[in-house]
Amino acid sequence: MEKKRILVVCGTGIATSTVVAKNIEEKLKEKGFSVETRQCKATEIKNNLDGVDLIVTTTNLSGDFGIPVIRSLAFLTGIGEEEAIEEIANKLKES
Amino acid sequence: MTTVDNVIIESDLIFPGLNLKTKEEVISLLGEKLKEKGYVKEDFIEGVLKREEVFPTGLPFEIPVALPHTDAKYCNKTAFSIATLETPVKFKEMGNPEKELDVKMVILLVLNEPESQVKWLQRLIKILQNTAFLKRLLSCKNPDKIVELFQKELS
Repeated sequence: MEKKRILVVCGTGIATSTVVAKNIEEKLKEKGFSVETRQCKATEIKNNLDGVDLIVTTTNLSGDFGIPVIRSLAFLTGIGEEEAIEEIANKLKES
Repeated sequence: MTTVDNVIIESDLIFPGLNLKTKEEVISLLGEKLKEKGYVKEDFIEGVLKREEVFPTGLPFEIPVALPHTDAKYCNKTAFSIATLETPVKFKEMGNPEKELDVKMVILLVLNEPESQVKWLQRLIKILQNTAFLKRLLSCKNPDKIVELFQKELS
């Protein structure tokens, strides 16, 4: 499978998105995906979309970015994590 | 002062069993101590409060916790300050500002090199998912003991 790129977004682009990005990378690798994550602030999405297949965000985003957006706190709270990773995996397969 | 992976944790930065009314009061109390220690810049508190308005940090763990923080430019060190709240304080939920959470613990993060703290942040989030550990923390009123509990879990 070709490498998929995920943009992980949070308010500052430093704390929660870092944790979410690592977590998603590990979980998707276990599922056999080849992924690369990148992080940014919610206000800087437009400059970071190059080659990105999917956005995962912990914050509320408005606007259409032309790719799927998944808003989830599951990778922080651990609650509903399995379902969230399934959803991401399915979207990546379609992309 | 002790550190775990170069992250400062010390009993001066631990505030057990607070009875405050608002998130602003909690963040200001913790922030003033961090300022006094020289771990953050003069406008750190304003920076955190401003960010909290736009991007709230309340997280719906089984026992709700808030993780306020701000840009690295306001921080001189990497540290964290902890308040446990006898009376819960309202924080908006991350990514879902219509929802308010009754937060029982606030961990104010001072991150000046977040890239090098990924592992540590991951471990911190992991231990907050452990409800039994959170309960133990909330019932503990001794700052030294709380430092010890965190050190053990984080290293």
